[in-house]
Amino acid sequence: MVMSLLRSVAGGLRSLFRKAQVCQELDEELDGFLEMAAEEKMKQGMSRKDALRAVRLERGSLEVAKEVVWSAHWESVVDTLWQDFRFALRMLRKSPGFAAASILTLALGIGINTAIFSLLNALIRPLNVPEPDRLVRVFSGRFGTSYEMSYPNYVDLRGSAQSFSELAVYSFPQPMSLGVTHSGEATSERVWGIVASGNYFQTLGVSAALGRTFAPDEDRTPDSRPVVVISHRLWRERFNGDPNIVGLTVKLNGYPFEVIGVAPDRMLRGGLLLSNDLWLPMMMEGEAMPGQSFKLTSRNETFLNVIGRLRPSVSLTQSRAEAKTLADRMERGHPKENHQFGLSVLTEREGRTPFLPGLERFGWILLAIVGLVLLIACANVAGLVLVRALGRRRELGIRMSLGAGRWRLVRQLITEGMILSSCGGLFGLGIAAFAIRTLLKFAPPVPLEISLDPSLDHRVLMFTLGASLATGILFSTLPAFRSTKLDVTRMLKAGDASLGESRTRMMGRDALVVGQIAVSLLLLIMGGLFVRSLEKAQQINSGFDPTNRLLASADTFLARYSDEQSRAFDARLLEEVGSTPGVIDVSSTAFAPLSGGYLGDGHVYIEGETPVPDYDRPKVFYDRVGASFFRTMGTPLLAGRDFTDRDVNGSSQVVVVNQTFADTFWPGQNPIGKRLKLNSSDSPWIEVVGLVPTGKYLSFGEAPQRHIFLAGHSSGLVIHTASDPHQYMQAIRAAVQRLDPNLAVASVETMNEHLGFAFYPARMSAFLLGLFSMLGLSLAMLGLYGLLAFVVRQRTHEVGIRIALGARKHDVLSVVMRQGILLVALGMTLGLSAAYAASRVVAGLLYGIGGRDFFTFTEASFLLAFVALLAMYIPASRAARVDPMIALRYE
Amino acid sequence: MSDKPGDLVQGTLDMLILKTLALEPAHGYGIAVRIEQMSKGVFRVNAGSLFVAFQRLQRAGLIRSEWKATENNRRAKYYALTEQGRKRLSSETREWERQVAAIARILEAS
Repeated sequence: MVMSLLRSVAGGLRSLFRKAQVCQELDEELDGFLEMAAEEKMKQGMSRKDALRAVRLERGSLEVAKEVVWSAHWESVVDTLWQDFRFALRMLRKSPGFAAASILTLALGIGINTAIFSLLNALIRPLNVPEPDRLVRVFSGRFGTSYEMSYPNYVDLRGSAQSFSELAVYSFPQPMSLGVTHSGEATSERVWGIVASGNYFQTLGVSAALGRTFAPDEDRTPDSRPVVVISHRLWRERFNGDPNIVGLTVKLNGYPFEVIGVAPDRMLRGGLLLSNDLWLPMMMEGEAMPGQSFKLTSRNETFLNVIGRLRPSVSLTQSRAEAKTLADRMERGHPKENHQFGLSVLTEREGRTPFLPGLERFGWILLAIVGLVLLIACANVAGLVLVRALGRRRELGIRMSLGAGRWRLVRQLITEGMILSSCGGLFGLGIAAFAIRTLLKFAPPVPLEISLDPSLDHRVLMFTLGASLATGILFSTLPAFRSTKLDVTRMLKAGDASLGESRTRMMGRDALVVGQIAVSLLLLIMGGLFVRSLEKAQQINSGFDPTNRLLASADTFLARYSDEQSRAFDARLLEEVGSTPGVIDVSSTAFAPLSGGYLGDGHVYIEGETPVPDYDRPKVFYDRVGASFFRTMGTPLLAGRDFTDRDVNGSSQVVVVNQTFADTFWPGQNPIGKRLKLNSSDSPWIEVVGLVPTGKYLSFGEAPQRHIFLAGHSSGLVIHTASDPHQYMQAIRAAVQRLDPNLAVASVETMNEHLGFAFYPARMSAFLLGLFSMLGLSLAMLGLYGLLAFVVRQRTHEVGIRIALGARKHDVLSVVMRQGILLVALGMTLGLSAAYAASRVVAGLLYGIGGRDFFTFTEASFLLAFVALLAMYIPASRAARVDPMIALRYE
Repeated sequence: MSDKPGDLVQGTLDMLILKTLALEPAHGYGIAVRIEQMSKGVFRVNAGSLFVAFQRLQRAGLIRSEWKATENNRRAKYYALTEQGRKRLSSETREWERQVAAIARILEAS
């Protein structure tokens, strides 16, 4: 059985690849057969001619016999496919315009889909480590929210949890100065490092590319083992891949560390991660971040990400059950710090998104949007194919009447579609590579390096392949069945399309128009929503005036300044900058607004309040700012006064509150002169001296926040300049250098550049969605124009008769356009309903407008209606200008 | 059966080819003629079905082929039975006889 199957396959393959030879053999054999039979007849006295005819009559046509023999085998299926393929190529070569238009449209659609998918894929793909699906993230949370973990809580958790074979913690990247002495010359630069527990690399399951990772005893005693693992990239780029890097001593923030290893290349490929170049043992926190060693002992300092590996026998559900028990125990152990303590265990993949909420959702929305663009592209090509099929009806009719089966013709047409879509997919990959490179240039303006690796991996390639096949089937199947459903005799007689027009075929085309209109209106509305949201975001009152303002800061803590030293430095810098010509005002802030973070938050105690327990006590964000901060920022004072030098030097305890704060605690009263305490009931009373309007502090999208400003020493400068702030950047850098030449200057940026970060999500989404919806609209309108132009051309004859019978231009226009308008209206109704349904999904990503923004819906509808009418009017008016004589002679 | 040469009973062509080849190797025309002669003109073999059958049998390894010169010095493809083909012929003959006997019994019974 197996043998005979093998023989059949071998024989089939042989005859497939040596078809010519096999055919020739068969020819020869059959010819011999014919000759021998004829000779027999001739012996009986027939002429050769008669004999040959007699044999044919008796034995059947040998041509047919050949065809029968050939098609009796499986290889003939492959052979017909190959024939279909070559025939399809020939047909496509005959209409290069059609082929080019289709391939280009598809390539564009598939290309942007591939690009968006590969970005999304980079966000959601598993980490590049062994068994990534066994990794989990643990968050400590209250009221169901997720927080990072404090170090003491992590130690407790690791000590008692049974579900994990390893449980590690690591901090967010922190800036560090890396000093290297190379051939006697010392250089220093700013890099990003994290502190991580000793088992960090074991938990991930990766080992060093060079040297080793942390040993267990390197993470036991604070400040005892200054070792560092460096990233592959830093090793390559900064140390030129030096093979002797292990054992080298580098200075981190001035403290000597020994390089023990190099991490593997692209170790954490997967997810949007803040990339870092250094890993330090947790116990070196005090050296990594000078003055921060208290974080290792405080249960309130939640700054660590927890990642763990489940034991092989433990399920996620089991680990969650254990976490619940442990959380209760940890709360009982430290009722004050761990009040209402909770632990949540998420898979590594689920736990990724809390870092950048909404990003993944935005990715899916974007993919849906470009999917719609692809759908429009498909509809366009389907329209082209339909139109072309009408022109080919004569050819198809002839082939059918010659005996081609309908299935064979359908297969033929689908093969053509597949060729088009595969070419589209191939070119699409090129477009995708270009689009990805372009998109990555729009990286968010943050000082951190963000690692997003959108390389084309097998998942992306599968996606592209799938998209190509799906589009090929989508746009060719329907037209293929439609156009092979022919009445052969009528087809051959009628010849021209106008008479054979069947109701069903028109419906297919109408459905295409309706679908395209619906989808492009949906796209337009989605794009419009994000564009309008950007406009709104830019109009949002941030509570200060960003024009002609500079932000500057120097990392004095990295230079290991003492508190006293940095105070003195900051004071001198303020003076130095303040005396620069053209500087109107200068002040300081500990945390510039809209940086995506905040200096601190604390519980508020209001004088004369009804006492409440701490966990019910409202929290408030605060910032510490210098003298005349509000004047420098251009923030108007609604009541009271600005801070003075005396406030900042600590001789009086004063605070400025915003309107939302005042409205919460002293509704309808003048807040000036009221008193409050921050953080603890033992803190001193602080007096409110000023009231400012509510601005934006964390992000543009935030709801009005309670916010207060404390007066105090802070090292970020805010500078109000008389003219373009760029001119002053050099002067400010020079001032820092004058004060301390060894200080690595951190950053000088204009306020508007700084706000780029806060605007980034709105700008990026508006840009992308606007771009894609315009692309979709243009495609749809091209398709609409093409279809209508074709319909009009088909009706030229009819229009000619109408005009000959006395119809005026106006009548013709209305006849031709009425049908189109009906379709557009239907499509728009569908599109509006779809947008209405989809608006719920995007609402959370918009600023200042709801998902069902009336203005956007109306504007998009008008725009679409206008463009659609235009696309119809051009062919319609051409029809109306038809010369009846020409139209009637048209046939 | 009528006077006109008729078509073969479905599925028996393979067996007849094998039987013909059991005597000696032959080319296509020879086989066709021999089947007609042996059946005394009852069966007429269509060239198409004959050559399809050759291909089928050859793929199944029951016959093999070889180009040789005929008595008239013409080049022709000669088919010959393989060992496997010989076995198949005897098993098919037995089966056929069994069936014919059974059918005959049924027809006689009435």
